Amino acid sequence: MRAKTIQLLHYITGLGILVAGGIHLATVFLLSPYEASMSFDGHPLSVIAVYRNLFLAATLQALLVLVAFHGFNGLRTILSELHQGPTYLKLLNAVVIAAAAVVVVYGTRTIVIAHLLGNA
Amino acid sequence: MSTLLTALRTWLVPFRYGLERWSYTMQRISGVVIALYFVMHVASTGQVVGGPSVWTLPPYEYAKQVWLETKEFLANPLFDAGLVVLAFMIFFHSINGVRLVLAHFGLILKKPTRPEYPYHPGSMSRIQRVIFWVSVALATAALVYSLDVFFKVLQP
Repeated sequence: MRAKTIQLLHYITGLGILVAGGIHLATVFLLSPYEASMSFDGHPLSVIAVYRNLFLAATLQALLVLVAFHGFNGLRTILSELHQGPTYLKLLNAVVIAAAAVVVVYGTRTIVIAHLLGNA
Repeated sequence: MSTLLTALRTWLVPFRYGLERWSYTMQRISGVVIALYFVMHVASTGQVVGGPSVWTLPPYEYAKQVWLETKEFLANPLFDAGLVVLAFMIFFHSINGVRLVLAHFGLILKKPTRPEYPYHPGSMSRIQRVIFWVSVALATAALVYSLDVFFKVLQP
């Protein structure tokens, strides 16, 4: 991808995180007492109840992908200033994409299984 | 090695260059910290379904047991203090990030002026300085709120 496209995506994902992250923080801190949010089950917004809710689970999935892109692209930008040259940049890009992929796959696994577990 | 030291100095030492440099340094530090927290958060919430070895539907009671043990492990003052700092960083990074997006699209820039002595380093317009301080204020409010959530400082 061209640098221009990546930077635009950095802004779009950042603004998307404001929405998805806002919903996430609101469910944990504002719409339910913190102790209830951290309990496994037994409350309207307990851990498993949040994953069971399709809208909230989808929000978490969106947040996972958005933060993975925004965060790892931010780290990539910072690390790209340490050293110059195409070899370093290619290696850096490969490492960052691989790391982001691992986090997204692992997080998606959690969300999908927890959603199924809530409905089981 | 000296390249790394130069880089670290320009990234982390914001003195003598005005508000814009402080914003830059704080945005970078908070961004890196939030990114590292995000990775740890995805790892720790993975315990909700029973940990890294679980890739199919686990028994409900097993997942619940693993989550309760993880919650117990995470509930200590050191991690809670980390979350309080993180609350400040998340709110600062968000609002200051909105300022950066607006500025990069040229929406909140001030008109160029002729340089006149004495030269001030500040390049942020008035509205940009306002948004910067709003982000600091909201971040401080988030910090106080989370101090209350984790350490009950506002309760009698």
